[in-house]
Amino acid sequence: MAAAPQAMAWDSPAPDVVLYCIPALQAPLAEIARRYTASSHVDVHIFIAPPDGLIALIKHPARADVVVADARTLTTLAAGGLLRPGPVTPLGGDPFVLIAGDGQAPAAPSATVLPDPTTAASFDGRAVLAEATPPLAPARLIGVSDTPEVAAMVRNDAGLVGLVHATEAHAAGLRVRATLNAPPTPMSGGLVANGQSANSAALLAFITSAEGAAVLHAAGMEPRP
Amino acid sequence: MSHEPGEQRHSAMARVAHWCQALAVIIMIGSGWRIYDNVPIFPFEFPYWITLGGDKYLATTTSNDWGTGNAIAWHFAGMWLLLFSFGLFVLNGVLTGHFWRDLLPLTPRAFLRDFIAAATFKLGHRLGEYNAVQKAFYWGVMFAIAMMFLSGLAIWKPVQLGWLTWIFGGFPAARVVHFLFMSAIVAFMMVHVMLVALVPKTFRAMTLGRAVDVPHGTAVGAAHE
Repeated sequence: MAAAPQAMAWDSPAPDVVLYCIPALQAPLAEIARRYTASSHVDVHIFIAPPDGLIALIKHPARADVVVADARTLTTLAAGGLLRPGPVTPLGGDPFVLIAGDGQAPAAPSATVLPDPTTAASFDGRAVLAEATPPLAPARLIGVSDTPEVAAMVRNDAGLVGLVHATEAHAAGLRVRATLNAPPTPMSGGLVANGQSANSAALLAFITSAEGAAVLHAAGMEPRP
Repeated sequence: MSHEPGEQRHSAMARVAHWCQALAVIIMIGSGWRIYDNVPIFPFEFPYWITLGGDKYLATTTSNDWGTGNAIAWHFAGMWLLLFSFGLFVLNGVLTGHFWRDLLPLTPRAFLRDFIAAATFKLGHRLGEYNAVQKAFYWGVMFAIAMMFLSGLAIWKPVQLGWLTWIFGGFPAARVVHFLFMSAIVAFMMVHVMLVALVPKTFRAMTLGRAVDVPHGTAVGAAHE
């Protein structure tokens, strides 16, 4: 991962676009950015961070033009005056899935790995299990810092299952054992208040276009309302 | 380990434990402030220059954050040092009888009397003797360190140690508890260092193992009990 660019005074808007997103959306947004660059010749630099890190980076401020994350994070950014005024752009929901490694699917997994209920995690894993219908109460839980660690543990231990977003399971090539009957995480996009790119709005519009929506849908997200 | 009146002795084990604790607490507080700044729980942040976590701009090249990852690494390193040195200190206090010989008895009446004397600058100090305010503060800081461990564990492993996190009222409340006891330890350290500056021979005793002094001031409190 390259260095996050620093905020600095620009005499004129920058042509390239700096896109911040949470880990779950990295893969589909990278594909959308690739397509956008191919059609517009505008470079897009993607940086990923968990919600708290993303907010801290934009707040400090690192250079950022567009942010795509869960709606709660966007709400926090908007409340802090870190987004341009106006409603954020909904992108659809990212369902929760239980993933297993490449080996034989464990009939009775030894444990379920999920994100801790901390500010560093993309979501509270236990709360998601409790919201599922019917509620899931695995015998043994292993909390880790965020979903990338969930995927890593499941990949390295065939006896585990893990709770992640559908987009992450798709990107990591991990087998989906079950899709949880729980409310998916609503994802949104917004323009950073002190963004410096002349192409921020164009990139966000491309993400929400039919082509962008198709990429997100193919990556596992539900269509936006 | 006090012997004759006006003489203060500290065993090698006590001195090693003391200075290791001092180093560990400084590491943990400095790194903890950087971690706090990432997601503040109160409407203020600690100045960057007094926090521990490396150059924040350089950190963006390695972990895409403002040194939070570095600070967490420092925090865990300091945690082990504090765990072992605090354990050594408690072990030494129990084995040598320091705790009940020097820090007990402690009664509310004696504390109130010595506290008033200290507040009116009438409380004398004699090497090797602990007044009731000192006794209370030493017990208090040991309790605070123990609570820091427990609340820190609740923050670190909120799934595996969910019962402990629940006792503290959940993850956000555990952070508040952790912060409040950190504040208590900082307050103790400030008073502790100030008193060492007023009675420098205590520094000599804690460094070289022994110091001798003659009584001074108007001694009321533990010395007269």
